[in-house]
Amino acid sequence: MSRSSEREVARRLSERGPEPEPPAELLARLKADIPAELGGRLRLVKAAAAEERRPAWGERRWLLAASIAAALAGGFLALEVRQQATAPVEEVEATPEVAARAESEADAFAERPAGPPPPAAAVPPPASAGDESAQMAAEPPLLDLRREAVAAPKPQLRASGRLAAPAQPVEVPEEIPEGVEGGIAGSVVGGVHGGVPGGIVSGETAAPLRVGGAMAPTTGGNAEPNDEPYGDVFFKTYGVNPFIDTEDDRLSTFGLDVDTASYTVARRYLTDGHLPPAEAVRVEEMVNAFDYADPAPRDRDFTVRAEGSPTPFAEGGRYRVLRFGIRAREVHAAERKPAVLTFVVDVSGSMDYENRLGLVKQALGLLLDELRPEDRVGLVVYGDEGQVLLNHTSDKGAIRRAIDRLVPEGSTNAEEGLLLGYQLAEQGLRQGAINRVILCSDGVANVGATGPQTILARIGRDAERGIELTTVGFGMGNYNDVLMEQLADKGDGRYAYVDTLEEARRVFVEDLTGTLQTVASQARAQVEFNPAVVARWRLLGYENRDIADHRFRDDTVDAGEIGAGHGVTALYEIKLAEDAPAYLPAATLRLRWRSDESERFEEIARTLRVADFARSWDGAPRALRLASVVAEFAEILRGSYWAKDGDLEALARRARRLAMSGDPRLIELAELIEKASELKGDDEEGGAAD
Amino acid sequence: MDTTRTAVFPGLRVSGLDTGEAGVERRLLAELAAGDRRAAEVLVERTYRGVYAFLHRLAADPELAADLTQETYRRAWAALASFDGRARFSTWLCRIAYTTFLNHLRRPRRLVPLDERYEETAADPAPAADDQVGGAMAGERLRRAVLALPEELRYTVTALFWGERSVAEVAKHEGVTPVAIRKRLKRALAALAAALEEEEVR
Repeated sequence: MSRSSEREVARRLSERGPEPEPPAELLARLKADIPAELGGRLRLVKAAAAEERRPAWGERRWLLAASIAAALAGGFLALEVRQQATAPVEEVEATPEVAARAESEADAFAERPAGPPPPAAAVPPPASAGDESAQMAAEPPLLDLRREAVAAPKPQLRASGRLAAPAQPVEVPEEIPEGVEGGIAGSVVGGVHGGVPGGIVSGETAAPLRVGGAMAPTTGGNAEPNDEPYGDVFFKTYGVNPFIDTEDDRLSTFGLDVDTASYTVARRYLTDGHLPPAEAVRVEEMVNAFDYADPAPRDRDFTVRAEGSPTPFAEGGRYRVLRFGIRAREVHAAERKPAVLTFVVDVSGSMDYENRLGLVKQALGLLLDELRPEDRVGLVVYGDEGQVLLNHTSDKGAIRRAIDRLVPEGSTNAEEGLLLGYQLAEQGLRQGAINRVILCSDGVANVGATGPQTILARIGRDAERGIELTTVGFGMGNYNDVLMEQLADKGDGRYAYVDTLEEARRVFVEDLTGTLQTVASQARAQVEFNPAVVARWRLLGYENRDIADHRFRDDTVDAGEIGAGHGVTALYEIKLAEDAPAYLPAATLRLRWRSDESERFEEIARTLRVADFARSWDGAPRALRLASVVAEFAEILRGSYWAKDGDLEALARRARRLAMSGDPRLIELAELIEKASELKGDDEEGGAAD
Repeated sequence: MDTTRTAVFPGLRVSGLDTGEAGVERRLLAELAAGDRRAAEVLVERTYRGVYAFLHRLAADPELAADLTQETYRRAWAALASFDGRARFSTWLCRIAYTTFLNHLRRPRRLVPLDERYEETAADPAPAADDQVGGAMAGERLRRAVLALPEELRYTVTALFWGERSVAEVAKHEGVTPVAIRKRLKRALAALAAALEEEEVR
C-alpha cells in the first residue's frame, strides 16, 4: 500500500467540515450537572512545572514536527533510532562504566561484521540526564542519527538453531531536511518527498517487541492449538529454545519472569492421574516455583549468584549447566507502602464447580488478616454483568461482609468485570501506594469482547499509570491459561494458579502481602557468552520472554516486574569449546531494571569463569542441582527435543536425594516425578499394545 | 533550508498554537481547586464545543453526541480526583469522551462483535450505490474503518484528528513518548489505507 494513500487517509480524516453546532440547551444541561463541592476533589501535580518551560517546549515541537515529517517522508527507521536515543535520555543515568562498556562492545563487534548487532552499537551511550536544559541540548544531535547506518532489528526466528543472515543495514536517505527551525506554518504543509531503499519498514517490525504478549513467539513449534485465538484454547506453546552456536550469536536476552503457575498446574494434573499437556509446562515457571536460598540484599535492589557444573542431563563430557540466581531486595512488611487492592472476582457459573469460589473466599479471608489499617480493599464481581460490590475501604468488617456475599451466578463477562475493576482502581488510585488489581477467575470469558485485545490494551495503558494486575487462576477443566498469563504480563503483574488452600496461602499471604511491593520494573537480563570458552548454549525456558538483543538497553521494552524478595533463576546448558581456558570468563550476565526506589534504570553485571565451576555434579551447589532437576522434569514433561532420552525414574532418584533435607516442597517434587514416571510408563505400554 | 519539503499531515496539530488556551485552563483549574464553582462553569463553556464536536465525529449522530457529552462531563466530575494536571484538562476530557463513546457502543448488545455492533449506530452500511450520498458514504466508511482499528491505534487517530489534540498532548496524557504516539499514528494510517483499499476493491 502506498504512502500517498496513507496521506490521503490523513487528509480525509482531517476533512471535518464546519464544526458541528451543539444543541442550544446542551450548555445548560452540562452546567446543571456540575456537582457542588468540586474543589476538594482536584489535586494538581506538577502542572506548573510542565508549563514553565513553554518556550523550550515550543521549540521542541518544531523538532518533533520535523521528525514526523522526516519519518513519514523518509521512512520509519529514523524514528526507531530517535526513540532509542530519546528514551534513555529521559530516564537513564548512564554510569561511566556502562558507557565505556558500550564503547568497548561496539569496538569488539566492529571486528565481527557478520555478527548480530551489539546491544548498544546503534544506541549511543546516553548523556547524563537530569535537568531540562540537558535534555533540550540533547535533542538536535539526535536528529543527526538518521544519517548513520542503522542496523535492522535482528531476525527473531531461531527455530533452526542458527540465525538467519543479519538484515542489511539500511541507509536513511538524504532527503530528510536537516535544519528544522521555522517553516512549519500552522498545520498544513504540502509535499511528500523521499523514499526508503527497500521499502517502508512495516509498523509491525517497528513496534516494540511485546514480551510474551500476543505477538508471535520467537521459537519453533508455535502452532495455535486451534483456529480460535480465544475461546477454548487453554494453553499456548511457545516452542523450545534451541542450542545456539556462540559464533553465531553470543547474546541471550530475555525479560525476567516470576510466574509460578505452570508448576501448580502440572501438579494438579499429576495428582489427578494425568500427564499435563506439554503446552501447560513452562520451564522457567516450574524452576521459579522453588526457593534456591539465594541471599536477598538489603542495601541494593538485586544480587546475582552464578554457578556452573557438569550436568548429567546432556551427553558428552563438554556439557555444563549454568545457573544465574537473581534475588530481589526484601522489604519488611512494616516498610512496605500502603496498598490499594481492587479484587475482581469471577462469580460466574463455572466458579461453582469444585468449590472454586469457596476457595477464592477463603483466600480473601486469609489475605484480610495480613492487611494493615492504611491498606484499602475494593471488590468487583462479574457474572452476567459487572458490579461494584464494595468501594475501597479499610473497614475489615465491611470487606468480610462483602466477601460473604459472593455467590456464583450466570455467565462470565470478564471484560466488563475487569473494566469495572480498573475504573474502581483508577478512582481509588493513590500516588506513592501500591495500586493493584487482582483478578480471581477460572479464566473462562465467554461474554464480552470477542477477543482479549480490548482488555489487553486497557490493561497495558493502566499499567503505564501504575496500576498493576495480578491474575490468580482457580479451578481446572475449562481453565484459560493463555488469557490469564497474557493479562498479567500486559498488566505488569504476575500470574499464579491456586488449587488448594495451602497454595492460596502461598499466593495471597506470602506472595501478595509479603511481595506486594514492586522493587524493580522492566527487568531484563542479557547473558553474553565468550566464544573462546563456550561453543554453544541453550536457555532453558523463557521462550515467551525473548527480547531482541539490541533492545536490551531500549528502555521502552516491556519486561518483567519483580516484587520484593522474589527470586528468579535462569538456567543455561552450554557446551564448552575444546581446550577452553579455565581462567577466561565463560559468561557474563547483565541485569537491567528500573528501580522503584531511585526511579532510574540501573544495571549490574556478574561474570562466571570456568574455574568457578564445580568439578562434578555431586559437588555442585544444591541450588544448581535442584534447579537442574526441576528443569529436566519440565523438559521431559513438555517433550523437549533436548530431553528426548530423559529418564524420569533416574530423575526421581535424584529428586529423592535432594528431598532428604526434609523440605516438604522437595518431597512433593520427588513424588510428582515418580507419579509422572508411572504415568509415562503406562502411556508407553499402552501405546505399544495398540 | 527548504521548508516545503517538510511534510505534515493536514489537520494534525504539531505546533504550540494552543498555548494560550492551556494557560486559561490552568488558571481555571487552580480556581476550581480553591473551591470556585464558577470556574467549573467557565471550564465547561470553554471545552464543551470541542467535546461535542469530537463525539459528533465519533458517533455521527447529533443527539447521541449531546447525550454522550453530558455523560462525559458527569464522569469527569466524578473522576476529578484522578486528574493530575499532567496533560491538559481538555485532553483528559477527550479521553473520557472517547471511553464514554466506546461504552455506549458496548452497552446495547454485548454478545455482538464490534463490527456488527457499530453498524447499529452507523448509517446504512450498504455499498454506495447512490451517487448523491457518495461523499457521505465515503465518510461513513472511513469512520467505520477507524472504529474497527485496534484500541491503541483507534484512540490515537480519533484524539489527534477528531479530538484535535496535539501529538505531545496525547503522549503526555497517555504517559508515553511522542514518538510512540507518532508510531501509532503511522501504523493506524497504514491500517486505514489498507482497509479502505480492500473495501474499494470489493
